[in-house]
Amino acid sequence: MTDPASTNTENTPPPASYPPKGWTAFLPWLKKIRPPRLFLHEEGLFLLLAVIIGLFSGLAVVCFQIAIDWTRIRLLGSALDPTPLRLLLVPALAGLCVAIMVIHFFPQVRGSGVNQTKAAVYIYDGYIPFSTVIGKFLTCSLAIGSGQSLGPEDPSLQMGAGIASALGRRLHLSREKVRLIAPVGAAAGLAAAFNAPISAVLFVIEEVIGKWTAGVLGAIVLSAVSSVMVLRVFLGEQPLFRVPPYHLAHPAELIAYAILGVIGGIASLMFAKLVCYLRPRLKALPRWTHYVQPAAAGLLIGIIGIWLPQVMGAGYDFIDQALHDQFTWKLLIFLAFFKIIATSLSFSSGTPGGMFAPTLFIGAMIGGAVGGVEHILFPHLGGTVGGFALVGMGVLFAGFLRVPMTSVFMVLEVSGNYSIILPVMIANTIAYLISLKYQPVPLFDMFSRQDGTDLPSMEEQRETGTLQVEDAMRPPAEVVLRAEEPVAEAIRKTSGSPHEFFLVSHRSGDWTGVTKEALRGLAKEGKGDSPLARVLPGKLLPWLHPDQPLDVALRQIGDWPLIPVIHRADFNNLQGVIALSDILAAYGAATGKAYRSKVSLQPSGPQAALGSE
Amino acid sequence: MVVSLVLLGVFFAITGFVNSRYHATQAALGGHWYARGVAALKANQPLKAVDAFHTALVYSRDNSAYELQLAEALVESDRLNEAEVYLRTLWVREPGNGTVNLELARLAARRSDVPDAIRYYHNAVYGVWDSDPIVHRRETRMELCEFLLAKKERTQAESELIAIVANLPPDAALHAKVGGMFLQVQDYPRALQQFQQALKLKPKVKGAWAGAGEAAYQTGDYAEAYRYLQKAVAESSSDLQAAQQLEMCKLILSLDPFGRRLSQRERIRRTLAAFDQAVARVKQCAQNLGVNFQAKQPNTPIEDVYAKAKKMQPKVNERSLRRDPDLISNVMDLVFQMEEQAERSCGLLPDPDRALLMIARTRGATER
Repeated sequence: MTDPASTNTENTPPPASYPPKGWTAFLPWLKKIRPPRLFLHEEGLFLLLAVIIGLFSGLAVVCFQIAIDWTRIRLLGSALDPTPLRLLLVPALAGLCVAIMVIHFFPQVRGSGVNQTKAAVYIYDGYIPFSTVIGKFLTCSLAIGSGQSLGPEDPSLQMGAGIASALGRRLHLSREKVRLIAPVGAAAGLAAAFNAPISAVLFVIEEVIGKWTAGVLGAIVLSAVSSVMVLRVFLGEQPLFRVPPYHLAHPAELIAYAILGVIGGIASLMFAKLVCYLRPRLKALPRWTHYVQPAAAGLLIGIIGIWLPQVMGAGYDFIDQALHDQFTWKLLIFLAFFKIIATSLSFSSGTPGGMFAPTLFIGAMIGGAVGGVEHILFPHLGGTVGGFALVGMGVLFAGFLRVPMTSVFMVLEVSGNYSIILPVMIANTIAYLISLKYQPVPLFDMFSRQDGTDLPSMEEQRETGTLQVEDAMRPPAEVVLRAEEPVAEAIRKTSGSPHEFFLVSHRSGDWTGVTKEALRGLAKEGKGDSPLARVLPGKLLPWLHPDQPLDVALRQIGDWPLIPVIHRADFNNLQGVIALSDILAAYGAATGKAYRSKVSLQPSGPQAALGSE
Repeated sequence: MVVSLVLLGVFFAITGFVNSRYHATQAALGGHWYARGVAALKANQPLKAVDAFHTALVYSRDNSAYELQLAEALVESDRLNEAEVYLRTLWVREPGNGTVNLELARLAARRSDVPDAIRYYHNAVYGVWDSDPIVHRRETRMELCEFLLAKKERTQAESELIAIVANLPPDAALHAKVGGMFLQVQDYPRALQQFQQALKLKPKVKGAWAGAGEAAYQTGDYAEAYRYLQKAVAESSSDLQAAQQLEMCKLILSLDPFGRRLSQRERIRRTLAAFDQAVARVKQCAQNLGVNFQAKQPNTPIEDVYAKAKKMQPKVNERSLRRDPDLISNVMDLVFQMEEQAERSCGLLPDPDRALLMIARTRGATER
């Protein structure tokens, strides 16, 4: 917990100029202060650290958002529609600066923050260099502030993870804790960026760590809450979007929401396919082009911005306007289409920044358009365009980022309206299923494969069914002995069986086992008339139930040649038996199937040809 | 750990400083764009105003004043749906805000949604106003009345007007306005009261004489109406309605045998003239309808009243009426019957007949 270098300085006398003068001189002095021996062991420290990480991340996100706003006002002016000259010059020139910074000073900031956090967890033992935090802050502020079509959430997530990693290393946490601390920071960063702690916690669990364990969950929740608290202290209580009042005016509206799910699913596919197509191809271009790619992307976005300034930057203000029915449905379709193009260009060109905000933007525009069309075709339904725009955001989140749980909770958290749950669930599920069907590899996994790493896919883990005992067990065809039966009777029963080992059922529901040889030995000892229960050794067999995971069977089986699989409500009811060979055979079959499916999903063409960045 | 905590403190302080500067800048930018929006609205450029208010809201989110102005600019640009969404958002935040409710009421009124409009107008009346709540409430109620009158919801409008009267300040123009509204809901006594109040406060208030004249005319107080209408016509000779009503008043006052302070002779003279007038009118009407009075049995109502007149005619002379003053009432009752029947059968009547009919109605109302 303390710096090891400072542990034996307690008895050394203070320097002559104690305390030292000048604030910089205080740093070594502060380091030498021995903190009170806290009664915290590592678990407690981890939770306390989660709060501190949350506070740091919250502050970083506050500064980050201020920096983006400040950059935008300085570079593009305070109007919502900047002058054409600024639109053509600013994103292009800023893109050039960003490219130089990324290539020469912060090469780690390129790419998805989610994947880099996952890489820190699964590859680098939780290590994220602090320069990544600084690099993300500077390059993303400049890129997003200058109008590149990217969002601040992904960088915030990575900054949070980077801060957490630095703190963990500084405090000499164990390797396991340092590995876990990056997602804690990621949750804090994302929570502050979204001003939505529940969604951030769910996202990190759903996409980064993929498991619910009490220790990690507690730390993630604490960090998310503390970061959001900091954000609200500084930037106010208001949610990310001002959502107009919503109510489901008519059940028939759910059909329109289902259609929104279909359209959103298709749009997610288009968006994902375009990014996955462009990214490796642009990356494969000669190195010198990497300097001009962000500038070229910026120029193209600036040209789009002359007619549609809404597509520039994160676009939150325009999402707000879409929620308030400020655009016609035709304009909304244009905005969604050009935002897909602009974001694909920005992201694929290597400009650092996230895709959460553009995803929400596209979703809101598509949702608003569907709502607008519904309003024209079926005015009697009385649905609000704002409701559709809100659901649309969740739809794209589910379809494009492939985080179905987060997408539902994000809409609920952002809207603060539970009555929107039905449309959200319907539309998000449809979009998610369409995306799952036609884009089997989720976006983040595709990025990681394009970058030459194979990070664990949380969706794959979710979708891959766990092997259960019933997948490996055999039917109970063998002779089953009863504990009350005499030894002679047992010998008679087992004499015709080819097997050597037999299960013995006790009235109490316990099970034991006996071999043919043991039975014969007992008979020789003159115990032929004794019941098995009296003469068999007392060691009970472990048992299993059909629905238990197969790895439980592997742990239980030990040296037993066979163990019973019994009914959960009737312990004497034998459902099957399982042997080590059965378990291994089941695993073998499943692995072969998974391998075949993975091979078939490997990216081909330029993606496969590329190495890491 | 200590270093981390110290760094945290330093980071807090820096962020606090940066944040305060940031908020100051945001507020200034918000104010700047808001002022531009207000100027654009004043210059009747609502589209420019909408853009400016949108921008102002970027820098000062959840600023209700900005949102309200944006909604108003959207209404001015005829983008009613968009305006309503903003107003509803504001309403959720401040359901008791008078201004927001009033704007929502106006939007509902524009799309002729009477229940919604009434609901929001009432919310505005009982809502919270930042300044001059009494004035705002009264004006809102007046607006509600105007809306109800436009939608022909007279009963509701009348109850709102009665509520307004209870808190009306001594303002002649206001009393005259309310009087005018009472005229529209056909509550003539209350209208007359309001006009009289207005004239008492300020005799020169516009339209009050004419209003009072009409109210008195409609209540059948033709003498009073004559007095007010004379002033109204003197004040504004272009007021044709007042002039017509004045003429009618003159006629009524000259024909009415039940007028006050009339000599017996004059009363009899008027009765005889009215009888002759009514008989002539019935004959003319019968002629227009092609009815023959020679038939032995009256078949039509017009023949019936004519038969009654024929029967009474021998008694209708100066001597009989002088001898039996009650006969005047009987004769006039028959006169009224004849005029009513003539109107029913032949439609619009000439002025003298109309005057007789109005005397009949006033008398009927008085007797009732």
